[in-house]
Amino acid sequence: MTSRESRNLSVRLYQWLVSFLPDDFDADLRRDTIETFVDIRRAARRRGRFASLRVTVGSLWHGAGAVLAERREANHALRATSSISAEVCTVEHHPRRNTTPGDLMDSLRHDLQTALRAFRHRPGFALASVVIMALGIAAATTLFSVVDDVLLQPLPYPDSERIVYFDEGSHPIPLFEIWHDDMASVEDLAAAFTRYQVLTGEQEPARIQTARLRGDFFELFGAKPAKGRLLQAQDFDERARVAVISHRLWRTRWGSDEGLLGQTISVDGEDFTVVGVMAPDFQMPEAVDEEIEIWMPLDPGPEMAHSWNYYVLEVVGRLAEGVTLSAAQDEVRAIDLRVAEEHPEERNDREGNPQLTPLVGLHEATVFGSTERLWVLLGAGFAVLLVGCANVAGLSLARGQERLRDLAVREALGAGKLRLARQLLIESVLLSLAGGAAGIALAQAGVKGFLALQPGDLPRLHEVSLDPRVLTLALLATVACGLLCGTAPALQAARSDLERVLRSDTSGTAGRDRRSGRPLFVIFEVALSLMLLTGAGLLAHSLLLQYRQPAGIDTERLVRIPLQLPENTIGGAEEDLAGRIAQRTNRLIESLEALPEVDSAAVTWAAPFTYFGRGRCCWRTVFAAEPDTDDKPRSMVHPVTAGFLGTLGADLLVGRDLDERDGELEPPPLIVNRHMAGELLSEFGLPGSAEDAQALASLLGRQVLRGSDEEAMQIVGVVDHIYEWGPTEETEPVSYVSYERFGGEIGLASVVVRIRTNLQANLVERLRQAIWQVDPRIPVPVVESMDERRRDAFAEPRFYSVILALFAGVSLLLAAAGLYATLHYTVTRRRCEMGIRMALGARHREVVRLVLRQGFGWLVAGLALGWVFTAISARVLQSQLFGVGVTDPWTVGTVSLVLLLSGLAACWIPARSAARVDPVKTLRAD
Amino acid sequence: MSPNAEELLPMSPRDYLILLGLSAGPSHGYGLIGEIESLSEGATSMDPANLYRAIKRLKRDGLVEDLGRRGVEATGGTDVDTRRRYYGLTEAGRGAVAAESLRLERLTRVARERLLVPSAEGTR
Repeated sequence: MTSRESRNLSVRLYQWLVSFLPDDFDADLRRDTIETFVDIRRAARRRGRFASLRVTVGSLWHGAGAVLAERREANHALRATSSISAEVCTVEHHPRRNTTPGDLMDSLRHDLQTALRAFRHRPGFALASVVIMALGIAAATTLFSVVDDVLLQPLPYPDSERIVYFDEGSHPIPLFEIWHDDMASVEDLAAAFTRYQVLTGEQEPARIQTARLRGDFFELFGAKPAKGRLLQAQDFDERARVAVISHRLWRTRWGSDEGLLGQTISVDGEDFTVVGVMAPDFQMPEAVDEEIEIWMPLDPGPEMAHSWNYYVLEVVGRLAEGVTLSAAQDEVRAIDLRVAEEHPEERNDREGNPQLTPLVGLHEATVFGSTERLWVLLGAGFAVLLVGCANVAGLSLARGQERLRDLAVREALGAGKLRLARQLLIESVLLSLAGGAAGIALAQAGVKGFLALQPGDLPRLHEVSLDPRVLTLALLATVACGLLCGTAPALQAARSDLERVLRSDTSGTAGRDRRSGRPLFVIFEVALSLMLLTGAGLLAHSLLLQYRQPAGIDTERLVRIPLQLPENTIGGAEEDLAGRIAQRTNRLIESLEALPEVDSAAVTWAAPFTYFGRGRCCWRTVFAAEPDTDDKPRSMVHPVTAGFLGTLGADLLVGRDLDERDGELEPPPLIVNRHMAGELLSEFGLPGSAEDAQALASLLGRQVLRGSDEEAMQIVGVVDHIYEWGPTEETEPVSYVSYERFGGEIGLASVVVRIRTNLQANLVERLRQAIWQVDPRIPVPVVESMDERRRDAFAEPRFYSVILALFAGVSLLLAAAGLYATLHYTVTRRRCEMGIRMALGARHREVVRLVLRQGFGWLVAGLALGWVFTAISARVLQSQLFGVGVTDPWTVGTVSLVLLLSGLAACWIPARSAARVDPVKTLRAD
Repeated sequence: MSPNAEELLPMSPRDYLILLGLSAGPSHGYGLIGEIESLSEGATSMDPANLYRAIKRLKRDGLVEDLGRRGVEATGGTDVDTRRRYYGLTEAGRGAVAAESLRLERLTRVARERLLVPSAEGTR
């Protein structure tokens, strides 16, 4: 059996089944049985899915029969008797005798048979219960499976709970060196500089993610090579030009060629010798970057190695034995404070506060941001399960009332009340188990659907599956639900005066409803549904507000092409690389703008709605009004080519866009966003706020001093905020400078193109050709419409809203159905009373009102309880909401109204039927 | 246990098929399931649990023996799959399958005499 097969659900089920065989079925036989099952299943798989399913189901079914038969034989052998219990009647023969375990088995079997007969008698009830339970179990199991694997299971690394992550994005290399040399509480400090690079060679150029490593990165994460070796200490010390490639890259690009080891590959024009292939199952920690294809030793240029302004390294380490996270955090803090004192310019922020690095567990860093969202969804899943339980419990109670007469007969024949209660519990658990089995099957589809539909930003998704832990929990939940649903009817049966039932002519007694607890279930269902509906409503409302939020740019007919200019293939000597990149960029723009469909094109490092991980795109620096001031506003800086803001359709508040002259203009021009303008206003001591156009205009023409060199720049424009990450981000200071001057030696580029037509396939191809005309070695992986990109930014909140709405919808349906069933049942039982009322002259309307009033009462009670639930639970939603409070009266009011109306509609049908009672017929029938 | 073959007659059709399947040589569970299917021309298909239930009983009755994982090497078999456990017929098992076959043959002869089935010659 392969390990994949051993993880397979049906194999697990079969193993579980085989484990019930009695002890004289020895380990060898059991193993053989399972192996043979795997064999025939594998053979059937080759014939197709259906054959495989047939064999699986058949084997499980016959296997269950075999298990029962074996157990029975073993039991008989144990008792050394061969008595055959002749059971001809459904009623127990020796109900009150002291029972032996064998009798217990027999009587249990008997209860099972009775239960099955009862289900056959009323298939509608059984089917409804199974379907409802299946929905609830599936909802809860699916989400628990996700939550368990994402949030609860440890990461797949040795001692993973001791691995820590240095948060706040990337860190400069000198800082890492200080941590590395000085820290005692964190061992195995390692770092990775990850980015996109271009792999060239015989095949077409590929844009891939690489990691330049420092420290024992691989040891920390327990990585093993599949071929050759991994990087060693010597490689790091000597900055050797060696590389380890991912198994996937090895397979897809080199067809798993064994001869690749020792060969040279070219990354951004630099040659590296391949020394190893990573094991296929190695997972890069997602907090660092997961899709790495090539690992190489870190080899920064002298500038980057000593600069405090290149935030490039992701840093991880392992807590030393016995050191707590907070102790390690204290040490990091102490070092950071010391460094800030030594390098005040670089390590202090505008207010003079030192930059401190939070230390978090790797697990926390990995799941960051998903935790609350997933718990909310899991809570909603369990709420659906509870609504389902309440629903089935309500159904069972109604059914229990109907069966009182049947139970009374059995009691008269000698069955004890406990025995009858047990019978009801068994029925309930059986139904629940059937529902659970269907629910687990549904959950398997649910997990697959969740993985397929989720927008891709949840961490650790490749680890999510229906594992034994989850199945165990699903099974426990199933049995618990069965007991929960069965308790009420069992208590009812135990409490009832069954003799009276038998003596009375009517099938029960009027007025029992109040004690039966049925309305309580309905009230509970309504309350939970209100809670779910409110949650879904709030998320939907928040989503709507996000859609309406302006992005700061015009995304219609705007195209983005992420590019990577192969750094060292630009040709020529090392010096003036920046100049050549700028030249190449200009030629790109010219080539694109030569297309008749293109209105304008511009280049930047990272266009809006481009998720570039933790700020790796960014360059931050300070701007001062006067030399030698301490209080300098700090801003993100985007080098952009001429006409960038115009191409984006950004809202230029005052001044002008950057243009072609700016490459030579002295001092270099600067455009700031509204937020930065606000900071500069106070920096210059100017009156007015950033909302005031006149105040903004007063900034134009002023000079600011950039960075520690205090290079003068002139403000030429103020632009409104452009959303870089998504619609819900908070604004921050941003400045735009000339790409030609400040693009630097970074070949990272995002081309934005404003087109005149829609983005059709042939235009995509022409855009690609235009780029390749400049340099055929530039990889052009995607040409994407910014409209889509913007929609993607909503994909995640939309996905969660849809799931919650789905749950809320199911629970609303269940609550309405529960209300209908309960009221219908009451009406049926009060048929006689209605008949009398109508015989005494009551009008139809009055009867309808009478019934509706009862349903309305339950609904209002449910809503009241629901508001309490909502008030308690809504707080967890707070962080998921944008622009709407958790107690938003519009949302709460609307969903309450929806629930009330659906509830009344559900009550209307039984009320109408009550009013149609023909008094003569009814009274005669009784 | 060395049972008297006659005592075990008549045999259940499944037991008979299992023993007949093993009469060609030792086999593992998966091979046996295929053999039974082909012997019964697809009419009988056994699931693993019931197969091993029967094997357990036949072992207890001394008709089948467990040859272990490398059992077939001793018998000179080829295509040995060491992952699987092999089972073979004991002498008693051989006797039992022969006795049951004779019994069935006698019955078939009676049926044939009563013209319920065409004679073996007739089908040729």
